[in-house]
Amino acid sequence: MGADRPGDADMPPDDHPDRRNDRDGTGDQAARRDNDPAETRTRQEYYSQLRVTVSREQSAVARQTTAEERAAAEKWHETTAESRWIWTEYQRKWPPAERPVVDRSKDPPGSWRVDTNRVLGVADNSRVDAECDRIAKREEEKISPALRAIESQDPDRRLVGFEHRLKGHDRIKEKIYDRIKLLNDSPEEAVSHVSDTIRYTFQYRESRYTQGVWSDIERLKGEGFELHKLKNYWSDDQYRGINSAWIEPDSGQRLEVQFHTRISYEAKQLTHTAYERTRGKQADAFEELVLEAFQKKVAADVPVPPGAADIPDYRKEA
Amino acid sequence: MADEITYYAIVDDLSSREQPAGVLRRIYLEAGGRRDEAFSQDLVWERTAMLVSAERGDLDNEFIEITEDEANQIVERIRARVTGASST
Repeated sequence: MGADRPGDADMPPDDHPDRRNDRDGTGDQAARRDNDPAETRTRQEYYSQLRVTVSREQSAVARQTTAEERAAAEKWHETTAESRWIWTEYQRKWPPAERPVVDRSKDPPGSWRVDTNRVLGVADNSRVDAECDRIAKREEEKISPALRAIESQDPDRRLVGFEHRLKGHDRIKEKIYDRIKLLNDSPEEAVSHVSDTIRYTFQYRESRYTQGVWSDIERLKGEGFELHKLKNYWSDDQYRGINSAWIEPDSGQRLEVQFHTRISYEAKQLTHTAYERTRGKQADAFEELVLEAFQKKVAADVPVPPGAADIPDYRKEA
Repeated sequence: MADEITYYAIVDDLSSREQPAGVLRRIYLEAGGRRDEAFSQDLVWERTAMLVSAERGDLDNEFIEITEDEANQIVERIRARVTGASST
């Protein structure tokens, strides 16, 4: 049960038996007088002093939280400097400019190719592009306005990376190629299965993270979105945060919502190129080991917000 | 020492461990490093980054560790579907 704070609807009324306004010695109050120290304050005095006490306690907690967050930020600042140096050294050993360029000179116009093997023919590529256009329309007309409305309900956290909410066509097509080739999907099925063609990221302070995530999950549900999947990566070794997949029920459109702290979001950005390089399947075994070690080092430096690791995974049954 | 291999059933929204959408193997190379491959509709093992993506927060698929026998059964099921042969 929470503290009785000033302004609470359940603040005891003046005629409550615990009130020291009952000074005429009648009732239970008189029976307790011999055992308890007498309350000599008026209701106004009592609540005025309570207000001061609560305010002091809250200030102390806030100071401590701020100090902890400041310490974490300073440590992160130091470790990112080291991580950036490691990444610079990596790039000296494996310069991006020396990587082979994909030869598209013999591909028919309208087809798509990301590397030697992964190709979409003209017809499949056209179907995928058309579906991406439909997704962009749903995002603009309905989904982003709803997310902005949710964002406006709490000034203590915000959407970050909003300009990147639509996934690039090339990355969508890489995923679609895998689904067609490895999972026997049609191009349309493949697009509909990609959970992050539209993606949003909420960023919280460490001290508000866990409660903030729970609140925003409820707000998303309140806007009509259906939670499809939620995965907690706070205990993982390469990536820190929570990712969730949702469905907008009218269109069936999938979207992803990520929940990060400032530091976990920066860690994600810092390691993104390493992840892309690993995903590109062009690195040799040694380079892949270095890339993985780099991602693990950065992730290990990300502080886990209180209670974050306890938010459970969720998967809606088919 | 020979390469070590771990097998995974690929499970998406419309599939299950019993009826997975595909199969992936992670090969820990004797020489160091590792290599991920999935059994494709071309009936060959192809390199893939699907599991790497999942480890990095991608939610499209779940990867459930399975035995080599279970992996072989999935391979045969894919082979049967692609070639039109019956799978026993």
